[in-house]
Amino acid sequence: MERFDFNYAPFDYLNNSERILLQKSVNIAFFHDDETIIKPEEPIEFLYVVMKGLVKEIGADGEMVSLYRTHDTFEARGLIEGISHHQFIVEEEALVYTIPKAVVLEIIDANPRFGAYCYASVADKFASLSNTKNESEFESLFTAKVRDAYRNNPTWLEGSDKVFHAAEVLKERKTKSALVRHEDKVGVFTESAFRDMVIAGASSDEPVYKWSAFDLIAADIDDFVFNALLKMMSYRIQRVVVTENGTPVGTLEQIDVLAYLSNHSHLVAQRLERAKTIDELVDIAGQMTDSIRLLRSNGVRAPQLAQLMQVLNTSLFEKAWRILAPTDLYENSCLIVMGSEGRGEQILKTDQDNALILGEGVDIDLATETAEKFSETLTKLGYPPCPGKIMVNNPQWRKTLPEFKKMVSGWCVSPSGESMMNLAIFIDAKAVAGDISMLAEVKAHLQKVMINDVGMLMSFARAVDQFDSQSKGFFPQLLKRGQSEKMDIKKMGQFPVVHGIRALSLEARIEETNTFERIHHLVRLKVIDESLGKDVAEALNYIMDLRLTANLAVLDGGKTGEAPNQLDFDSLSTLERDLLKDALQVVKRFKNVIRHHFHITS
Amino acid sequence: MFKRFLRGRERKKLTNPDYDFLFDDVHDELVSFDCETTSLDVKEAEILSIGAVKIRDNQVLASESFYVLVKPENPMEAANISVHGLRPKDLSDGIPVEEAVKQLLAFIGGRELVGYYLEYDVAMINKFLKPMIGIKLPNKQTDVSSLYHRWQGKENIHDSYVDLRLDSMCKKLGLNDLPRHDALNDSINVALMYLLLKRRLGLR
Repeated sequence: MERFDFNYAPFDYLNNSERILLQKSVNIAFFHDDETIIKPEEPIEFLYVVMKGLVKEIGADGEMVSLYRTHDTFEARGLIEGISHHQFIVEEEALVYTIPKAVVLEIIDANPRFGAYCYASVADKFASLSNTKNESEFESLFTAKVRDAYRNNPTWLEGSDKVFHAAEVLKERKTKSALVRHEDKVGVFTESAFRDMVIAGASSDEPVYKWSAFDLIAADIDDFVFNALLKMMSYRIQRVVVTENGTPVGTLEQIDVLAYLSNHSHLVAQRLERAKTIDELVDIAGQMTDSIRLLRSNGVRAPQLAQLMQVLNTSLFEKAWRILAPTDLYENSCLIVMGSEGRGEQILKTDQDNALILGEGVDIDLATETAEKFSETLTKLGYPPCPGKIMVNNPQWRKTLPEFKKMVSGWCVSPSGESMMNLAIFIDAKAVAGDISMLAEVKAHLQKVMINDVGMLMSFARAVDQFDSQSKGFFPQLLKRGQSEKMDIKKMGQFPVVHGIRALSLEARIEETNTFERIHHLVRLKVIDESLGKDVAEALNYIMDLRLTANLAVLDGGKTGEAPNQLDFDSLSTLERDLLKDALQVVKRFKNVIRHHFHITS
Repeated sequence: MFKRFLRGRERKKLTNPDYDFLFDDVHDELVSFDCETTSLDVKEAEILSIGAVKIRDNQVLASESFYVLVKPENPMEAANISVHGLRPKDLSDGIPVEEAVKQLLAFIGGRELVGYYLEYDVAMINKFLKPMIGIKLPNKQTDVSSLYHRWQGKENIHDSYVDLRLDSMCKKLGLNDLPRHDALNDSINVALMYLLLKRRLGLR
């Protein structure tokens, strides 16, 4: 006979006797519209759980900081600390369960998981969320098929080929084994053959078939990867031959299995390395989105995914540029990516923010023509053109080294909104191809021109408030009936953190471009204290996760025309909503730190 | 005046002075209560369980609730079992009905009673109470269905028909997804309805 619903966090952590204890002590209070449940600075005697209705939380500055609805819990932290600095007011007639403080404390004592939830700093809560996703990783180990993980273009050798030739082919194809055709039989020639040959003192002129194994151990293409792995383990071998209807079609290496399970993108990287044409690149770029989905479903979190994508994108851009640009241009220029791509925080292909620094004496016309082709190519690869035209085909972002330096110092002396935005994008720049020393030179130049320019730094940092009208409106926005409950997670959550950290990093002359690395560095330099750094990093981490989920949902729905970064509040679970609220609180706290630090007055 | 006179007369009929506390007014608390019975005919029905919960200010004190199972004197009919979900086995641990009524009286004391079609539940209790102590329940009584009727009357003046089925009322008040059909849960639901309706009618 349960009156209290124990099916959601943190109450689903309770064991039977704890449930009975809670059940026995819980009361239900009824509050009418606009009634205050908790006054600020008032001792808190209960943990509240909303049964029906809507309760809003008002911060010390009078702004609404959170909204609680059915199954939401408040005010655990206040209960433990004794008082809450915030006010809790009923927005819509509310029935709330009230659990007495003594009971909550008793359960906390006995149940560390429940306690952790109540006590948890923001960072810890996020970490506990990510742990719950581990199960799906195992799932993929058991469900992956050989077809998904094997290499489908095996290297073939004739049995009569000389071992020396085999060595050359393996090196060129960057592979550790080849299939060998010899007298109607198929064998496999592997790297370990070379070891055996050296030991035997054999000549590299010998035919390959003499050193190949013909008693093949094979796995069918539709078999489970797991079974193939078992075969490798029981025969103590590094690879199996993959057969389709009994015919060898490729090989599956242990390393491929590991790559597939831990990181499907390893294969993408290999293919990228081998690619020789733009068409191949288009194919690979398409595969990258599949990789993201797979890794995501395996529980890999957004920031790690973003870093991985940065590695892949970098080689994709490098490869495309190398294919398009004549050698002289390639060597005398520096291709850079900026903004989120430069920071390593772009996961899905949202836009192309790039620029080209040209060495003096390059053929300008040729550079112009190649840059045009490059921007077109990126569009083909799935990167939508940047709405702000921050692309190499825009002459403003394709300049010789001296001109580029001039442009950068120009931004610093005239701190208009546009130049501050350009500066912000440029600060995150990362060289991906060509002479990378050119970017370093421009960045060094930037450091020189902006020495101790407090006014400029202030105008730069001011942008943390850019979308403030919206963030002020977030929770109140949810109160408006009939409106879709969506928020721009990028503008409200991600941008203020990224930009605030960027401003602090610019001031502290930190070279890292990745926001998480910048945060670590800022904490090391004691520019921000450790707990704030930790909270900000975790909040950003979580916000990036939510943003990725929202954007993948748009992709999956085939609704590419829909505005990106729109988070549907209703689709979140109670725990996710709880964490989002915490994350947004951290963002708010951080924005205040930035305003204070740069003396921004609003 | 008249009510006080009647109460005074009832008090004199009380055969067991131990129950004089039923006449002690408790001003700041009420009790919502509900009985599960074998039929709707007071004469033949048997009580199977009694649930009750206290109400204070704006709170339903679920932590101060009352629930007993009663051992029926006659075998139960299968049709009933499916309604209240209480099998003969569940009731074998029940207490005799007189004992259950005594415990209920101790729980409610002089508090005002709240219920849904309370008249019936009170009549069921009185059936056993009168032979025990010579009087009927003297407590003040409020029926949520009459509060609801008043509220609906205010809401739609032109439509005189008011659906007073418990399910319809719960639905209208937004309480339809709470667990039901257990005397204690029903009494908690009725208590919640009482708080909601009191508020909507602007009563203190």
